[in-house]
Amino acid sequence: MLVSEEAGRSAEGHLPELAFSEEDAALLEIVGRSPSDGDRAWRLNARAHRLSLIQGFDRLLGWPSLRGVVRYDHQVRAALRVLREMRGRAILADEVGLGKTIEAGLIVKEYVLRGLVRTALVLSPAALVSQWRDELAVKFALDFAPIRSPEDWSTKDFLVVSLDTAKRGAHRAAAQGTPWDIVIVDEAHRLRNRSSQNWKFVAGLRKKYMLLLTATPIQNNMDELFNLVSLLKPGQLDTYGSFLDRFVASSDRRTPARVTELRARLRDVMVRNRRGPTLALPRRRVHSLAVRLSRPERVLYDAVTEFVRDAYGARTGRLSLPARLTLIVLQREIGSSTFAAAQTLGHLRDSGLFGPGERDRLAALHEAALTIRENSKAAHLCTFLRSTEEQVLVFTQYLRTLNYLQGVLEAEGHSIAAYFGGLSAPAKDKVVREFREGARIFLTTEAGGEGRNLQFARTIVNYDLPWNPLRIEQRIGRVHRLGQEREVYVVNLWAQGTIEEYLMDLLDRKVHMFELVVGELDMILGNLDERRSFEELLMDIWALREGESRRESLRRLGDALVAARARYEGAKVANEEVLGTLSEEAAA
Amino acid sequence: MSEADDLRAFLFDAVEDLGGSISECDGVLEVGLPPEFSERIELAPRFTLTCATPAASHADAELLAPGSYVLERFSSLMMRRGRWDSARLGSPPDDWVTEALRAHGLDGSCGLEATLESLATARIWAFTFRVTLVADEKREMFFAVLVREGEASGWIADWEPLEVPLEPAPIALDRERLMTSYRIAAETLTEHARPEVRAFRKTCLTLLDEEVGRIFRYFDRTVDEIRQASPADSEGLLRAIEAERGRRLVEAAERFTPRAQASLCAVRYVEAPEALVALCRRNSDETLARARVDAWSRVIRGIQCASCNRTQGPWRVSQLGAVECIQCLPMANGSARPPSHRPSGTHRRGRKASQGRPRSPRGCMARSRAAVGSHRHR
Repeated sequence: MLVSEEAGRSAEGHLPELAFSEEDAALLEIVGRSPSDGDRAWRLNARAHRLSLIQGFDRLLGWPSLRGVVRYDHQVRAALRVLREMRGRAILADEVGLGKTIEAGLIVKEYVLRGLVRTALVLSPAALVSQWRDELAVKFALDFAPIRSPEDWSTKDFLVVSLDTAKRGAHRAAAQGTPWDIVIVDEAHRLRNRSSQNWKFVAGLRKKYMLLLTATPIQNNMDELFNLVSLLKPGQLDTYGSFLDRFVASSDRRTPARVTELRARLRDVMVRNRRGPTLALPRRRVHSLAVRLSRPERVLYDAVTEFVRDAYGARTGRLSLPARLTLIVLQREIGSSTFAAAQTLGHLRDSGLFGPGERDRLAALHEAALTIRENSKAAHLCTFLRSTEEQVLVFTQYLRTLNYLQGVLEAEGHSIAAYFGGLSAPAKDKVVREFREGARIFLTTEAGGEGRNLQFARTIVNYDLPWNPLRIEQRIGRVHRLGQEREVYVVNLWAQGTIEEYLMDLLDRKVHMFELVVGELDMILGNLDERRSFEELLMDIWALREGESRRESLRRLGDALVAARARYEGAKVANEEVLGTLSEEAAA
Repeated sequence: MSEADDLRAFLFDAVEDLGGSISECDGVLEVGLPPEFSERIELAPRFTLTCATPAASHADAELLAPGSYVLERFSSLMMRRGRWDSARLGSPPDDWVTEALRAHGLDGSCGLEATLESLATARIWAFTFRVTLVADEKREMFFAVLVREGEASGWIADWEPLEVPLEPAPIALDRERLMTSYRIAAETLTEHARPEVRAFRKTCLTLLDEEVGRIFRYFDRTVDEIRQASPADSEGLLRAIEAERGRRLVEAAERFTPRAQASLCAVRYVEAPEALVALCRRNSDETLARARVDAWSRVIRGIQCASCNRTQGPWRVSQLGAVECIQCLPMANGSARPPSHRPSGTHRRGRKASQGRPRSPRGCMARSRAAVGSHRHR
């Protein structure tokens, strides 16, 4: 240190008042020894410093660098409140679909830009890990890595991982041994039970700031609210005994007491925006069109499915994990188009994953796929497009299906803006611009213009159905989102007698997913099964050989989904009763 | 100038300084940079910018705004350049002394008259510092601290006068003088930033105190509740609670412990004309104070407020004939100081704080005008 000790110490205590950087010496060393950059450069140096000074949280610095994030006042207010008043520790409890993820992203971005966050951990349900990662990367330019091995805890500064993975074994110790600048827990109602591993794990993390995201802090009873708030700010609701005495009216702990006072206390730690008139979304209108496959398509689909069931059901030992995954991909592809499946069938035939007998079957399937030149769904799509003059987003999962459709639709005379993951960033900008400037059809893979504003259109076609319902919801969310003022049309093309029929049965007829608000499906699926994703559950059923077993399993899954939705609806009512509007400005 | 104007001016000057080009069409700026700098700045050799939210037709233009990527890149490069310089202020305007005095209230209107006693060339070191106060939030300040070789204390300069372009000048570096000047600058900055640093520290420590108090209350009472509920088999639970309390206390300390750091951003050696002036009451021969002012920073040095000891103007003459800073003057003589205006804690080098009173109203540089045969300079 170059400054005399007297100057550096306060008169009152022994804490240094102003510490001078040790790097000052290096700068003083170059004075007179290296060439000067000149008069103007010296002045520009000072101007650069002055223009970049941080003054607390006077404003959100992140906006200019965000991509595809529409500015909503309620989100800005929420972010600033958390930063200024709650000092980075808050429960974000907006109603579903109002952008809790965006608010969390805004907050993290502000901390990162100010140099206050250098390590960050997002804990989410397994099914949402990739969604979090994509959203933070695309919209906020924040590069969060997934966990591949326990070593990642010490080598990566920004991590997104499922709570289920993080709390187990070596991961748990590594996570709790790392000091985190910020921890974000999505679907934080999973921390409702104080004696659960989830709660204990998060309580054991060392963190400076913490955001708990949940639309329903209360799932069953008032204990859950207490446990969540105590995790964030112990004592805010007094001790557990005092809390019960003061704020709980019934022995089953479901009925709140002194709600006004309780809300006043919650206001210090919780942001809850509700969907008022300005944030109401227009209706969705859903048309699900059943498609009968042509005879050759039907034969091919059934034969591919038979092959998949044979191989998939062969159990481990014989079939490697990559082979099983490839079979799942193949089953998905044949649900999309024969063109999508053809190439994979060829690859499988030439790979060493299967024995000679299976390779012969694959060769025959490959030949059969190549002979099919038209797909029935494409004809239905053309018929639909002739029935409307709207601009339409057509989604498919696979590039080869996209290529096929592009040819078909161009032959029909449609102008196409084709958007897929392999395009460069400028090319993607160009495609979006073409669509905005009047191209009739935005033909896209799952890359789907994530983060782009496409609300000027209002019609989407699901040419094929992803097995992950959240993907379907993301597709719809491209046009059915805040800012959309017209009714939205969702057209599902689903093939009879295929796994898509199962999907439609579960998602449309049982859960009524197409009537849900964006975000509600996450809540329902989150109530379904913590360990296994919906896709895995679906594939397990589809792979069953016996038709009756399949139907029975499908019924059970349907019942579980209905129960999960009922639990969600119940929680919604309970939260409304206790939390309501925490502040006047919260209803937008 | 608005912030947007500042940013725009900064961009234009930065691009010019790097030898690049910039042109404007329909609100979009097209920037060209020499390859050596485009690589260092991690931007394409040619790119478009806009100072407003990009319109649909200009969606590819990068936004120049606080927090934007392109501003961060330019700022980062500019902070790496221009870290030291030596220059000369060759020919200031003829009336620079009068203007400098007027800017500090030392013109005829305050009842004072100034007499130029001598002109010389001052060798000044300028050190710019970024001061960062950080706990769970961050506040930053930027200061230019100037030190005249041969003087024992430095001063904080306003930025505007320092923006005047200077001529390059060679430097015969005396490293010892540089280091001495740096130490003086650091002491000056420490004194100047002290109120801000203390206020920040007080805020943080209050927050820490509240947090720690709440943690102890919560856990102590929780322990009591558990002991009352099941005194026999609660030991494991109590150990877990104590561990949790420990973690929460560590977290609180990490969040609210204040830190204040200054880092040197750039250094400059400047030779500039300097005037020594004598100040006396109008129609009086008695010198109230002597002051120095240089043509670059235009700060009046050497005057100390008769009431509060501060050394920063603007200045006025009180009814009692003493030079006082403008903040002390509105108060009736002998009345209490405004609460926001505390006495300067500054103690001069070589003098203990307790030796600061009483002061001559003539100031520390006062001497008989008879001793310096001088002409009056209003």
